[in-house]
Amino acid sequence: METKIRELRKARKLSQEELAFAVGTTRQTITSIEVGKYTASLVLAYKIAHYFGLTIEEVFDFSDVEAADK
Amino acid sequence: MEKYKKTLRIRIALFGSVILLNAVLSICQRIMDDRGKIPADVSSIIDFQSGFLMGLAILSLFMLIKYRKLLRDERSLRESYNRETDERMVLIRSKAGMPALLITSIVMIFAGIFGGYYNIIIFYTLLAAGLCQILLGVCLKFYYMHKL
Repeated sequence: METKIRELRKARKLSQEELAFAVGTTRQTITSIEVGKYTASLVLAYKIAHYFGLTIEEVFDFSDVEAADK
Repeated sequence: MEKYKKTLRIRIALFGSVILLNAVLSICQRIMDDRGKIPADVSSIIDFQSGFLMGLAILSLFMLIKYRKLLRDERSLRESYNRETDERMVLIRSKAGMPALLITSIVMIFAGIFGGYYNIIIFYTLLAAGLCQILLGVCLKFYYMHKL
């Protein structure tokens, strides 16, 4: 799943480790989410979106999921 | 976080018990050895048992020191909590069969030590099985850490 986490992080000059600490996860998980290897759970997705002051849909790209459903 | 601190304190107590148990067993073994009570045919089992328990005790000591340090530093405590409860790591551990594989492997090794006092073949068989399980768990963990 594609995400905008990297762009949002860089816009705020935030390291992966700082973001990970803030949302209660590890740097490796943030890396995996950013490269699309790992799909965050609803709780983690909410925490990340909430941290950036955005909605889940604004941070995570669900177009693949919608395309698969069609 | 208070719950996690409590968990760490319980672990510190457990590790302390392991170290104490190892010290007691070592003293008992030394006394029995000095009195010539240990038969020569089980000396290899006794030696393995001593080494294994010593290894567990040293590991327990490291963990005890680590956890005591964590309890004194809030940021490190929070980082440790994040590492342990991280959903991706929980998933990886679950897929790798942890901690069940590790626990059954240690139980097998202990069973091998007990059985070895009766038959050396039992000891070697269970030891090999325990080590293979541990190796399997480690390989699976590395595989899923790379995949996820």
